[in-house]
Amino acid sequence: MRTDDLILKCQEAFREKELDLFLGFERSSSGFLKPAVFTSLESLEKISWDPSASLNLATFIPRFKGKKVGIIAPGCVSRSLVILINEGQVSRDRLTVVGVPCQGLIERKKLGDLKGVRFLDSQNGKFTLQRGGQIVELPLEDYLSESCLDCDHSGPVLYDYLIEGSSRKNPSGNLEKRVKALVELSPGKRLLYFKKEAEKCIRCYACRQACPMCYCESCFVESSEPRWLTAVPEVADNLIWLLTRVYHLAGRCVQCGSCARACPEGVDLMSLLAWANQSVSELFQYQPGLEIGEKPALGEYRLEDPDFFWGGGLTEGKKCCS
Amino acid sequence: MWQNFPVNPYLPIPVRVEKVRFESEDRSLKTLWLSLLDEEVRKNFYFRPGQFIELSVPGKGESPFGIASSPREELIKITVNKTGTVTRAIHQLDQGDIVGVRGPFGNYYPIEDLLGANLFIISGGFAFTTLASFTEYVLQDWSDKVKDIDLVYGARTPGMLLYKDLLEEWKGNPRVKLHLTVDREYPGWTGLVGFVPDIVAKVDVDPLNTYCFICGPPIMIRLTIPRLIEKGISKDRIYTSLERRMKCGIGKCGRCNIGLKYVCRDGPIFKVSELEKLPAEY
Amino acid sequence: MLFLKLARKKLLEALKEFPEYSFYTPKKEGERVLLKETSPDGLPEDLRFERSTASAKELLFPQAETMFYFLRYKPSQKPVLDEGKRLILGLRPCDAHGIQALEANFLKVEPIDPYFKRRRENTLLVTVACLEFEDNCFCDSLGSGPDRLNGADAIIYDLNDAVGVLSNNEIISQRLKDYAFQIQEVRGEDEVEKGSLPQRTVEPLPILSPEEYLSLILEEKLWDKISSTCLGCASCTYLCPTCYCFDIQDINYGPAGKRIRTYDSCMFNLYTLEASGHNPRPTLKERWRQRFLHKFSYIPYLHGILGCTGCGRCIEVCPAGIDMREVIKDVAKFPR
Repeated sequence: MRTDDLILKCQEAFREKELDLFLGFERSSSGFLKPAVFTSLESLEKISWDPSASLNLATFIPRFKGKKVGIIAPGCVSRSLVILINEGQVSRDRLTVVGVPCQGLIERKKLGDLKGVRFLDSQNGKFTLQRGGQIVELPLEDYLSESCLDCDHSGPVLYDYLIEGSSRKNPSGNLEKRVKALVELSPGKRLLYFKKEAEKCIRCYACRQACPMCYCESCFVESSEPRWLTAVPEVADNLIWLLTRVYHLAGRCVQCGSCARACPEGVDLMSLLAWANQSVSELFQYQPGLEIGEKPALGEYRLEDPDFFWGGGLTEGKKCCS
Repeated sequence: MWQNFPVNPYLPIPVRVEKVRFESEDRSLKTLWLSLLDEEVRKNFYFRPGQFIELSVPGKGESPFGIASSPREELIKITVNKTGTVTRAIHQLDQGDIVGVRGPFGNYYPIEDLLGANLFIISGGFAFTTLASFTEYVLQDWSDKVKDIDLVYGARTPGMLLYKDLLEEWKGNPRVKLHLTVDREYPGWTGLVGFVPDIVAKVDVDPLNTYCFICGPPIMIRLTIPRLIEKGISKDRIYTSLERRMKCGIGKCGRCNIGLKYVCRDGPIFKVSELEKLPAEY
Repeated sequence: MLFLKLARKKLLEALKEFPEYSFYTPKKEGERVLLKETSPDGLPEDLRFERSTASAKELLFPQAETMFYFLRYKPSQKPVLDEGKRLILGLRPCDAHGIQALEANFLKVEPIDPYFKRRRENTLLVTVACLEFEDNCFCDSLGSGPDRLNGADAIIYDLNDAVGVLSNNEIISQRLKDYAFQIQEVRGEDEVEKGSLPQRTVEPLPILSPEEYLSLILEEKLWDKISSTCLGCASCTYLCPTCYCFDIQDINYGPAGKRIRTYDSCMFNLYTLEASGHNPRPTLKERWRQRFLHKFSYIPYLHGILGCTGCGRCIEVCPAGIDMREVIKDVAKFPR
């Protein structure tokens, strides 16, 4: 993918669709990409896309109600957009999607001591960083987000314009394995693991804000009547926060990893989210964000839905209904 | 001020609810009279009209309320609008219940500046509290030192007007010109009809010797100020009391910060000329 | 103010002169560097400490603290003051600057905050002049530097085989005296030997006066632009060394309970939302204005100290890649 092609295509979209604004990335002074709202053809000359981006841009969509918005979208972002459309948060005709190929995004926390270094560029499965006169070339594969390593929809599923290019293939399956290992732990050990993770949480809600599916105008953590949890970042309350968010996202999360990359404390959010998604996928044979018009798995009741948690007790009820 | 709390300004001092009364017909407004439990504290408790207290219901939290009683009175009077967790809990309080109070906090109406001047007191809805305290105090203590008092007070319906006993009393006082108004015609209502800013426009005042005090919903304040300026009243003589979500009351927790000011500590009463320099974050 | 030179080994030895203090140092734990209690025996002799993930404020002004306990139906309350004595070693000069900003709010303006006061009195803040710059820190661009005392109780300079300790704190200088091979009475950092400090070309940043910043308060367009990609999370403010805004809440345990205070953030919608539904700061535009001007105008104007220490934490954690240095430049560029 060439940046020139991206710029031209986005400008074309901006002009043809008479957009109010365009959501994309631009280079920050640290070289890493940062989200930007482009409001003119000229400003779009700065638009850019590479593995140094971090945020799922769809998280900005509910902010621009009533506006005609353009957006660049790799696979995960396009899937988020599908869900937002299906959940009535944005109408398809106000949205112009420029699909982009994706090689996966860098998890800066994996860079360790190098996380604050200048990002130069990325090509052919490598990326380069610069600190003073020193230039380091690193293999992309070793520094990708866990979610990107496991991604099975790296190319866009919804687009009006498409930038040609190759997207990352061969999901590693590591996240799935990790979830399996956690599920196989004894409940006590599993709790211990998640307590340790929850201990890190400072409840800054960067995960929520970075998540395109967390668009509620008022989040349950902010409710004072009833108050579900206190503002004290103790393990018990943190677990309520982390787990409730996961339940709200079950079958809605596209595992873009935006929240995990946003977390300043490196809490393991991905295993929980992947577990919830796997459960929904097994129970309802459902993968979120692939088809416009589809109802969310947990937003619809079907007679053939499994009801194991009632121990089969509802079979009679089924007869009643049918 | 915080000399009431020599050690810890966050510790509420115990008060007993002496009397309660529903103030409005829809029972959304309730007035409470409080007395400080400790004899020593009571003797030293001192406030000026315009100041507020934080009323604390243990287990529910704290909320700020403007003091509605005159400093002359024995009991502290507040009126509480039922909107959130704390105010709902306060509405459940009854005579004899013991809760906590911190304060008084904030600045007060500049009574010393008013020698020989006319007062134009303007209020809407249940924000009348501190202005009722102010009016009552002026009539009790400063009656011979100020000239006339014009008081515009409006509510949605006659039943939503606060402190009907006081209003009745002031009606008989030749020093007060009372302009009571309701938003629209109401069976049995013989007073004025119309919104506060429109009534204000019609009141005749001496622009060069009048101080104005406005307290009400933000929209009412915003619409009233230009009406006063049109009359030729200086922005230095128009005061308004701001409401913000105040927590600590002592300028520490940060949430009521507007520009260089803290509403809880430098306010809540500001001159319009001061407000003009601040973003309209109120 | 005393400047004491000690042999490197002697400094660690001298720590036993502080038996009533627990020691806290930055310690790496996984991806994060935490400020944790540690034994004085295990301290690194080279005095190399990483910059803590969260700023040092959490030891003096923790994210959540109990103010008092109460009985729900009785006028009884028991205030809780933290009496533990702490010696925090290995902070950076920017951390000390952050504490100074907190002191301005909690201690310099009446009434004094008793919780912060007691903790500060019980704490000895010992910083180490930075041996290296961080990739994203910029105190030198703000007119400060990695060698400044900044209101710490002592700062340690690396003098190769020895260390220099500059302190204006009675307890520290008295207890270190016997271990020093040289003692000097000085007036400040500029009179002492500081060893080799990290060098780099200072990136100039246009810092305006508090009044000049204040004159931008009504420029809606500026704040709109700056806040356009902000997500409204609190990672920056919670980790910021100078952010002190807090919330007060009650927690119940049956008939008893406690009143606590916790960090709050001006970046949250709920921070200023009133019970009526009215929000005086309804969008991120107003919240960014508050956050920026609080640091660069209000705190400097009211307390004579910059509300940004240049530690760079907000830059590193921002999920939207917002860089405070770029914001400072954008604000200065805006026509006044």
